[in-house]
Amino acid sequence: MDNLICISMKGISKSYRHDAKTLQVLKHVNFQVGVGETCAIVGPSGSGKSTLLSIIGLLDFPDEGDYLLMGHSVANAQSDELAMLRKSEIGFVFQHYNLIARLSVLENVALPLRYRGVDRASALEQAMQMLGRVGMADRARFKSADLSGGQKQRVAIARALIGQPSLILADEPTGSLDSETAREILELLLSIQKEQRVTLLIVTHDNQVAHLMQKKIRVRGGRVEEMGASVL
Amino acid sequence: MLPLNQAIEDALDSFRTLSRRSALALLGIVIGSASIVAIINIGHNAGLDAASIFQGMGTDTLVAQLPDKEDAQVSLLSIDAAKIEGLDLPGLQITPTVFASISLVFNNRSVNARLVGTESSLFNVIALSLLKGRFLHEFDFEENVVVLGHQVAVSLSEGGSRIQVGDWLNINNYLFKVVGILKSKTNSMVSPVVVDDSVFIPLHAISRVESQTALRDLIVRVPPPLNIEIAALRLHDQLARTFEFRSVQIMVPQQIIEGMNRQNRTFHYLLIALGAIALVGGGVAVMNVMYMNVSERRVEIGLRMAIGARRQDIRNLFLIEALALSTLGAVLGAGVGIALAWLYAVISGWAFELAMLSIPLGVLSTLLVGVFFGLKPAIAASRLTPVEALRDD
Ligand SMILES: Nc1ncnc2c1ncn2[C@@H]1O[C@H](COP(=O)(O)OP(=O)(O)O)[C@@H](O)[C@H]1O
Ligand SMILES: [Mg+2]
Repeated sequence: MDNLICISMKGISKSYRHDAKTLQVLKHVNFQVGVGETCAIVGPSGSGKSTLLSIIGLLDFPDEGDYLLMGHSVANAQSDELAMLRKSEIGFVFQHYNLIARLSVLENVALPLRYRGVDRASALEQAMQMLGRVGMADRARFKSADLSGGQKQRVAIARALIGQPSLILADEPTGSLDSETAREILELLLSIQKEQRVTLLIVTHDNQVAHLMQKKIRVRGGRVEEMGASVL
Repeated sequence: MLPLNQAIEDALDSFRTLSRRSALALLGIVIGSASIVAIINIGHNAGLDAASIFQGMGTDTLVAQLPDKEDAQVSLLSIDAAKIEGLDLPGLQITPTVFASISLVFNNRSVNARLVGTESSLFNVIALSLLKGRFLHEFDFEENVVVLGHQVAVSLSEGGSRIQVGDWLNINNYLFKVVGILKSKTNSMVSPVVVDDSVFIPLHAISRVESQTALRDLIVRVPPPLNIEIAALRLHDQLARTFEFRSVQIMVPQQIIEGMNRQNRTFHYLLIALGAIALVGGGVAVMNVMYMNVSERRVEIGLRMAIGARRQDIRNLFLIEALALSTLGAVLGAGVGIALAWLYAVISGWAFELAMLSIPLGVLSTLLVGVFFGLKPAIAASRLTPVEALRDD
């Protein structure tokens, strides 16, 4: 398994147009991440980390370049195919959680299964198990608005994992949390990653966090450079 | 593909928490739907009321009046009747009628009534029905037989002994045998006969009671395929020539009905226009609510896309919400509309009958408006790209 490639990018470029000026955010980016690998993405604010993660997560398109996700070429995929790939391959964890406030914790976690056509009862049952795994079973009936930040992120992690994706993309998942809670969330993510052998990409500013990952990628000036493997 | 029942469940989830704004949109939809349903019902009942004016007088019937002109010589019934016989109007069934005011005596009790001299065909032409006995018969010739209108029979019975078929009645000192009693009947606007207050005797028997009577009204049936308007013209033509000293007026119930309908229709169109405006207003309100809904839930849209929702799933989510809103509005509106129409009928003194088609028509047109105006915001939501939707600014 370890020598299989999860993400393979070649010559990926992305620019945004601001009025008359063009801002090139990513310039001919090349890199690979193997299946089951953990990878930190670091770099100064505004360097294009989120842009890179959006392209990896099929939420945004590169202007040019080739991108293979789990062997699927996604360069020419239509929006329905992209939705299908996001559904089956990717779980997202956002800095601001993005839970649906009016739904209960349980319903939030079950939501990805609903787009897989799983019936309501068994979706809720699976969601309950997943909440147990992230230590939130006792909050299942809460509205997500009534949770603390750390609790919300636990729920978001359960939601990202419930569809058994091959890739977890976390954009500053601890960016809104105090350091104690941040460590707990990170430990949770890493322990689940080990259990499920899922590929994990984390955008982070925290060097300690970055050191916990097998691979470290720095985004700067539109370029992506791989840093030395961290000491595990 | 998100199965339909799940799509609906999801939409209803968000519908639960739709805001006060949606209550306003709902109000618009309710008003629109209510006006459509009310209008159809009011129109329906106005039509029934108009039809009831004619009380069974068919649209193939017309009435010719031959009032005496001032200072013209008074003609005699027998001469008039002979003239009628001589008319050349093939196919037309002419029922002559003659009227007189008389008093009847039964059992020492005297009652005023309208005397109608006529023929047996009147029975079908103005749709009479019998309580007891029979109507005039063509073999009655000038026999002294009488058929009583309902109210006359009731008044005559008030003396104590109930009047029966077979009893004898004194009309201007002539005895007439009661052969039938009619059921009560509401007056038709066009028929010259006031059924309940009249007694009916054979046309030629009337000369015995009232010597100076002339022919007054002809009730004429124009069976198909004859054209009633052409028949009316020909009748007028011949009557004017035959009865040259008298004025001739022809009433065609069909024309009167059409006149009333034309008036109703104008009123109807006006109301429908009002209902349509209310409905479109409601639709625009739904569109606004849905647009705000989409922009407030932009991040949710992005999240749903990130976890695998396709464009049509997002479109359906919002479309179903718009539909749920319109369905609720349509159903409430139908109830309100029926209540309004009922009130209108009560105030107008009509009997209320529910127009069955009004409910599906009202609900369907409201749903169409909901889909039409809900579609644009729903499509706008589905056209967002996931990054655009998820951007937190
Ligand atoms: N949709 C957009 N339109 C225009 N500029 C954008 C857009 N998204 C990002 N940018 C710009 O691209 C650059 C990289 O942004 P981002 O990837 O969010 O950086 P990071 O996540 O590393 O802080 C920033 O300068 C940002 O302003
Ligand atoms: Mg960022």
